Amino acid sequence: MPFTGEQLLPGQIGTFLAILSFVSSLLATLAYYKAMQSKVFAEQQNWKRIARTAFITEIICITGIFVTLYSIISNHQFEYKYAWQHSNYELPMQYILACFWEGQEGSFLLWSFWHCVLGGIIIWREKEWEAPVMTTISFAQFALATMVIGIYFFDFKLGSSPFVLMRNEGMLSPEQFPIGFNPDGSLRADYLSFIRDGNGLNPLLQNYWMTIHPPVLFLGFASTIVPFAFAMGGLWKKNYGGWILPARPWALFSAGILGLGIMMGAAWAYESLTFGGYWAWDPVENASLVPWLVAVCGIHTMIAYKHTGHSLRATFLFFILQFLLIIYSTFLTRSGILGDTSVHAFTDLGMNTQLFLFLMAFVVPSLVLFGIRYKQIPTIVKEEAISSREFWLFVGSLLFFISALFIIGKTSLPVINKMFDTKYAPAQDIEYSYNKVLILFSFVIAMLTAITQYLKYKQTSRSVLLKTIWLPTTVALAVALSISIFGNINYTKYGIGYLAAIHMGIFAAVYATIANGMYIVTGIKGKMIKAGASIAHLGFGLTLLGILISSSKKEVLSWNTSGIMVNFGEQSKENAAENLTLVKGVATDMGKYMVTYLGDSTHPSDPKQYFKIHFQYKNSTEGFTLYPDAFVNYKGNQELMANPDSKHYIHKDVFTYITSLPNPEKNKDTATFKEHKIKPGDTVFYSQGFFVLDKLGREITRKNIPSNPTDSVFAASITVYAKDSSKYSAEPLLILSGNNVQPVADTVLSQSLVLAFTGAEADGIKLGVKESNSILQYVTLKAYQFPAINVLWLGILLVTIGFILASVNHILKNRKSALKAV
Amino acid sequence: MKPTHILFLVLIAVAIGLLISTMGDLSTYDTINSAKAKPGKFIHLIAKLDTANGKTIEYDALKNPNYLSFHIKDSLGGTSKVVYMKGKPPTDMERSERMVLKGKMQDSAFVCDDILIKCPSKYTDEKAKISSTAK
Repeated sequence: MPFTGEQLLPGQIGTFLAILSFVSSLLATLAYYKAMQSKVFAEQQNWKRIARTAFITEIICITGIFVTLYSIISNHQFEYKYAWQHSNYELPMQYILACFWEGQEGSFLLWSFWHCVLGGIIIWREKEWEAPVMTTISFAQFALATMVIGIYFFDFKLGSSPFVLMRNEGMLSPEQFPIGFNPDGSLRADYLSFIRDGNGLNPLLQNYWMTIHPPVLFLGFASTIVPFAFAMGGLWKKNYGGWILPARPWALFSAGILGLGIMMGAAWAYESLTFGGYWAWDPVENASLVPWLVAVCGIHTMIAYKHTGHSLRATFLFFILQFLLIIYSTFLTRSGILGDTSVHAFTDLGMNTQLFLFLMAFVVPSLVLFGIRYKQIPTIVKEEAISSREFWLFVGSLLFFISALFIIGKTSLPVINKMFDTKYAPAQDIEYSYNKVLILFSFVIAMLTAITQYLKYKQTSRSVLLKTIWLPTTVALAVALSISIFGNINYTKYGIGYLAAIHMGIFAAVYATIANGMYIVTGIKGKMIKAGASIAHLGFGLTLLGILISSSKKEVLSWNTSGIMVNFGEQSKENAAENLTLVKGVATDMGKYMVTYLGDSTHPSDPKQYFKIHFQYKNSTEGFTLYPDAFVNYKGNQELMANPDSKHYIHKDVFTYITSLPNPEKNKDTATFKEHKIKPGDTVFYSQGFFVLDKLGREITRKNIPSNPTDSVFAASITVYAKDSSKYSAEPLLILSGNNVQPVADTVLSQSLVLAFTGAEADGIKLGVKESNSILQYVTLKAYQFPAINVLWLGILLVTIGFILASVNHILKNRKSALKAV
Repeated sequence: MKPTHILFLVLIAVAIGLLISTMGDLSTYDTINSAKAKPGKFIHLIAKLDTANGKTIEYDALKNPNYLSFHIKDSLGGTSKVVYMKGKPPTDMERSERMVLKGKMQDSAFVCDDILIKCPSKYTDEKAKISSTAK
């Protein structure tokens, strides 16, 4: 039965392309394998031609799927589940792409798309290594194609297609969607006209970072396969050293982009999410960091091998592992196994078996091949000299590798629990349990980063080393000491030992920065094209410095010092009372600032509500206003989803976000004034305690009362004694301007108490007492100050530039030597 | 001994040190009743929000924006009051199907450092939403 308004053609095209991509990637794998195995040149060329045709078909398919799915989403064709799930009419154009990769299917497609781009470049440029490298990449494409094909083999569902229809997926049922059904229980022909809007993008993801972070991160993910494929090709063809030079630019590019992608995620978390920082050792963050660490190990041992012939086995191992860890992290984050330990809400697609097979399809062959060939990989029997650069490159890589194992080991706790049926949970203070170990590793690694550039391959004579290194060492010592002494770094939360480690870390980071900066001048004589490594190392030093300073000097501005504490006995020093409630118009003390909630605003085209929070320096007239925003009651969702706003200075950021708002439902003002007739000295009880009328008079201590000089003012001084033994004073007024009598109420915020004159008599007053929450407009927020955060971002930028520059340099070098060979 | 041998010995020592320190840091998943048996020890609880008999989520940002209390129950029938001293109720707490709570059991309540909310799977959730978007 046809349904009106449905457009089935795009879905059919998409499904067809998905199946074609499945077939062509399989064909490309087989043909490339044949081309690699064949000894006869003409036969090789034939297989290669078939393989190329198949891979180009694959590129066309993936691009076609991309365009089709994008058009379905951007045209809001809600007959398709993917469009309904991830988009709606309200979304601005820039988020339509974000919808595309919000879902698992879209993100697999993105990954696949980058493989196509990289594969295309390899076919175009890498003559000799095309067949072995493309065998692996085509196989990966095949594996990814199974993820989005969505067909059944008997009872086993292979993949999950983005082109399925709502009505076929059980998304429409007579119970949930009665209007779309006929009385006989069948779906109405015009059911589609009743689906007015889609579910839309998760409001937390409605952010420009969601448009740019995933493509970069997935390019990083996808590009790790290239050095892996080179290493596999080298093992398979028994050409153990030949792959190193062509693979080097790829490895550098991959590490650069992956690092950038990860840190863009960190910047997103910092800038737009309310995690209160840029890094939390969340399993999802770790799972992408660890492959990067291992890839960096591989790059360093690769360089040692290129210059001295040492460390080839380690290079193989690192490049194999960095890619396997990418697949492993895919398994961790998409299988739902991290459910209890991660804040990232990943849904379980019911594809765990397939994800596990995907992992094994790469783990088993690559490690088996490595094991079989291990003995044949050439090594140099003679040990490296302790004064040689290669020795310390290897030591540094090994330390980096151990820290990677440490991180992934801790992250894999849920996997270990599942395998051994244990019930271990993460540490109490997760961040500290990582930091206390990694701060020591980073100290040693940063020291090595500083010194190793100054060592020579094979052997370094002591006098040469001293001659070059004394200047950077002295400068670094001076700079680091002045940071330590004048920087006021007193992070004693974890004791003096940890503080000492922080100061040591600061020295090492400064040393790495300065030594590498000076090496650009003294070591490579300012030839910038060769400076990639030094720039990246310099950036690494700055990154580390930024991390150390911003974390150890992170300041909570919104410490709750208002004295409004429930006397519960549970309020101890560890319990960070970081939430502060600001009542509209009332300036509140926050460290260096007086902070006032001025009001809020909305715009019809923007579902968010903006809050105007003014920060005023206490010691000057300057100040600034921040506009943190939040989705309030978005789509009937009771809770608020907040985005922070920050004031960026060069040396620090002031950062705030809303954590809570009054709930209008719960706080309806049902309270009324209750009248008490009292004289000075009288006591009146209310629900939270009692108050005493101290005196009546005309001396007013309250400020900011709108009155004319001609007015006559009458005040009552009242002291409120709350049950929790705190004491407040209140001063309700009566203003007489001419014949007009106007009472001005006073409130005791923490007690929700409103006091106002209702009348005055000869021997006393009539006082109205009201207890109500709804009188107040307020926001609850947290505010932090992050110093030196820009040092971190600058560091990341330099690391990325350094990697890309080094990659370009090695591409040019390879081309030159290829020309010479001809 | 060659320098590489020394290096490997050092590395093995480091690795063992790491393993021990990591094992020492680990905590455990407990039920409410087993948690009550070890008061003061840092543990993880997996439980559900308990709203039976008029038990409510208490949070008043005006009185104290850092005080939240609610009640939980677990699959084995244990119940407890929970006190959280870091802020407001997490998003979707009322709709959650389970929570992971980290903290220590004290005399009167489970004093919690961190709450992780697990919502009903997106799938069933979305079905319910069609009716609200389709008018």
